[in-house]
Amino acid sequence: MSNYIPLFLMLVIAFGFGAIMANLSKWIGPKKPTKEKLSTYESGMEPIGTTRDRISIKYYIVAMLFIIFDIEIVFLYPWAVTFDKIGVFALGEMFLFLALLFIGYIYILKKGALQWD
Amino acid sequence: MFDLIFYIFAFITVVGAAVTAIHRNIVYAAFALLFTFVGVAGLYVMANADFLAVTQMMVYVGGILILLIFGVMLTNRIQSANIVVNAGPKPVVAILSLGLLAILCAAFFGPSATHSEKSKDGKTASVSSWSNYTQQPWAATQWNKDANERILSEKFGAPSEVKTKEGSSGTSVEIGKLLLSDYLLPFEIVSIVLLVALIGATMIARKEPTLEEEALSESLS
Amino acid sequence: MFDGLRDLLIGLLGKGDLADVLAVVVYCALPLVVILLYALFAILAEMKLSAWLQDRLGPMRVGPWGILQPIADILKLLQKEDITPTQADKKLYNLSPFLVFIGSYLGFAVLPFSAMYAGARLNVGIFYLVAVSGLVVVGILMAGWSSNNKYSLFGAMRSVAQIVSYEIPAGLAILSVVMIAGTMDLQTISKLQEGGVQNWFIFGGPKNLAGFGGATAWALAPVMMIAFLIYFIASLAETNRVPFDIPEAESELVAGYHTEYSAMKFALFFLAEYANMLVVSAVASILFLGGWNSPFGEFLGGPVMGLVWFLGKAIFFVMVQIWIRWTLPRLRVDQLMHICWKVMIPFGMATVLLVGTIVTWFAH
Repeated sequence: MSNYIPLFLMLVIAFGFGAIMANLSKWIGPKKPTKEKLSTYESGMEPIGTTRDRISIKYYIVAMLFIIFDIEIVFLYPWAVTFDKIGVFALGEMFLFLALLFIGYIYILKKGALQWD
Repeated sequence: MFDLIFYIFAFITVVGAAVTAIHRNIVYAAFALLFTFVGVAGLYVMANADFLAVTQMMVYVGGILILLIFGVMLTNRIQSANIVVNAGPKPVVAILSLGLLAILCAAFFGPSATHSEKSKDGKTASVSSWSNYTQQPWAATQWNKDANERILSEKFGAPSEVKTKEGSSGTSVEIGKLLLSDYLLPFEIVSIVLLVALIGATMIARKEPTLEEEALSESLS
Repeated sequence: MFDGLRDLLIGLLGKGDLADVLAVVVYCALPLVVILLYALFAILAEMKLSAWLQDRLGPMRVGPWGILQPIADILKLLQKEDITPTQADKKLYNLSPFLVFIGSYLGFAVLPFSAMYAGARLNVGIFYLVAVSGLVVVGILMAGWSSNNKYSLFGAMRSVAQIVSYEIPAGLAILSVVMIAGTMDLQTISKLQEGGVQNWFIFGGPKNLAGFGGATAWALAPVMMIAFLIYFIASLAETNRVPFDIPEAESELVAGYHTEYSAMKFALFFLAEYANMLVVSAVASILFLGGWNSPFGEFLGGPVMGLVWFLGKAIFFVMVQIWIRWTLPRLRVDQLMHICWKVMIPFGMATVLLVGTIVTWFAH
């Protein structure tokens, strides 16, 4: 797994660089906080209501559908690097795999889950 | 060096999990899962399972975590609420968790974990699971001077002379071959499970439009 | 590359641990140098190109033709006050710029800049690159939530929904390349496309590949062009660029998820955003347009020219992204989701199945 050592070092470097960048303005920049300056920006108005409100369920549906299709893609990758060595059988298997998902896709399409309104 | 990286990832994983379990603010608990997932991905890499590690990143960090956070934001007034888990009378909980700890320790260090292995010369070698674990290939390669030089000059991103399609394969090719041979049925069942999940997700989350709304959208279109 | 660097440092510092450690650190920090130099260039390019497209001159005061403007901008950002709103959730607010930047920097780790240099050569290369963008997504969501600002939250939610949606067509388009190449290692994928423009994957990949011949590759060419188009459109959406910039729609959301950020924390988001543009452009050029390969085969090839070709192709796509930004109008959210789920995903699946069928048909 020595190929992953540079990756780990890059993680450390990225973190270090980020830490320096984020703190630079703390060291260099001015510090004159006022109450107005530290208030939430809402185009110059007093903030109305709360941000911690319920979000639309549409986002949740998108995330759920994403996970399902994501897992499908995860299964497609190991198939993609081997299918040509196995032949017609592997292709048939994948047609079956995707056909089943396609039924589900048609279902959610008809149900209107992909409708963003 | 490998040991050090292992302990760093293990630490990240455990701390992330602990914050998730303990923290009163549910959004913090959800975000702490990120560190657990990344730590586990790191541990997978150290166990030579790179495909699994990337899958972990892709599905858990990119998918499940986002879904969890969306779920939290979807739930009314939970974001600022203090979550208190009331699991039962404290002595009972303490005894139960200590018992679990004892069982886990026994399973890990105890005699039952020691299993016999026939080595090449016919001798029966007894290896405890812990020493077996530390004898993993990555652990054996200490970050000493010559290993360092060998690794860096041979494998450190240096271009090899791969010309044909049979390049560096890693675990993904093996997984692909197994999926299309020994584990064909589970593979196909996965697609059925995904189909069921798709239908279930749509059924639960999608609000059927009421008659009023339908009439409104028809009159608009 | 690494050996050369190590020898150089041993020459300078003498043999010892210091030279070795420094060599490793410098080797791993090289993408950072590329990002910073590229960011200076891209900021100027964005200003100048937008000006020319609108028949203006753009910045002209700082340096000749304003070429020092990005440096002036950075100096200005350095002198700004670091503001953490009182309503914000301090810990997560400070953590999220890191996550976003780390996510995009880790993307650079596997890019083969030339035949000599790839930070880390993983055999799950491109799959890793798709997965690591998940960190950016979590960072954006964290920024939006912790700012406790409605603009930030809406921007983050839209951004996340859009990025995860478009990851699917992008993954499917990438898959069609992986199917021909038979590997996910980006350096190997680049190497396979050696020997001139006809061997690039957009034209069906190498014509002398073991297993199947030139006819297969030419038959694949039209499908691969569609796959390239799918990837390019999806990459625009994943970097929140026009026409998919609804998460940062300034007329309704001010600046999206980084509305509350100021000074160098804002700069970190900005840098990560531009770095992401380069990553997706680089991936497009590696997967479909030969990566570091010269289009003329051996002519103008070699490791050093390879770097030039690679960065040239990648920056060309960054330029196209800028050009598109100042040309096209913004899409509505429903149009955006419609294009992803009802147009690009079916097309992506069709390309995967077509590539599979063609390869199997000819190879067996």
